[in-house]
Amino acid sequence: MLPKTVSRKTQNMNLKPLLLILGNLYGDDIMNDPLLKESVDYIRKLSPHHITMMLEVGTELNALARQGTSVKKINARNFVTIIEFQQSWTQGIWNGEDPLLQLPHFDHDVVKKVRKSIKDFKLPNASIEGFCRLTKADRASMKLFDD
Amino acid sequence: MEKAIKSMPLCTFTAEGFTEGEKECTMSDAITLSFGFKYDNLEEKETPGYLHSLRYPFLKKTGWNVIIADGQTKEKVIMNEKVYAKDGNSGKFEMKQRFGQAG
Repeated sequence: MLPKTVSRKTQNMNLKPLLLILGNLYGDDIMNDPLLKESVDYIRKLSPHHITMMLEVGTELNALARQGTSVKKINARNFVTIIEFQQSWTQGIWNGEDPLLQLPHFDHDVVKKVRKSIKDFKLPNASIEGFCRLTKADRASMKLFDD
Repeated sequence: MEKAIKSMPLCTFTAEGFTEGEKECTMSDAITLSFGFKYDNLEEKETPGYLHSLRYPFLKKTGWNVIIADGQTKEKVIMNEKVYAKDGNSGKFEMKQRFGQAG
């Protein structure tokens, strides 16, 4: 994902923000290192405002494109992508990863167990919402945690 | 885990389109679009708190984005608005617009 060669476009690029953003999305624990934490927290703090700004600019570009005064075409899918990115960024998970990873104490092993149980229970709704709407007894029978 | 699930945003959503004071909508009418949501696991006077995230150490309110777009082309985006639950377990977004022209 990082540029492999130095070109005129990338030679003066500051790669630190890009690295911090990718590190946060991958949920890498190195982001808690005191050397990086201050910088990544700065980006985290500003991110809601930047994302709101992206949505506002998208709305403006969409309106301009409809009037025929903008070459950039922004459609509903672009807005959904920005909103999904906002969620992934806030929760520190990569786009497309299992949404159950957003729950506290849910790591890849637990999610694997849940997915297997959902298959065994033949649940119609395998989403995070479907899991939460199960009865307490059904969730307990999945035996997700050892304790 | 059960405590976490109790605080999950489990919502029921409603969407409605109508013309005020009339039974049927026509092309030239100003149409009111109404979207609502209600947190099922909160009492009527309870409001959702701040979000939980291991990787976001700041306070952030949770809300819902309403995107109104042309269903066929998905290109014409009419509205993009963020709606929050205020003073209770539900929130509502309403807009009134004339979408078509007669003739």
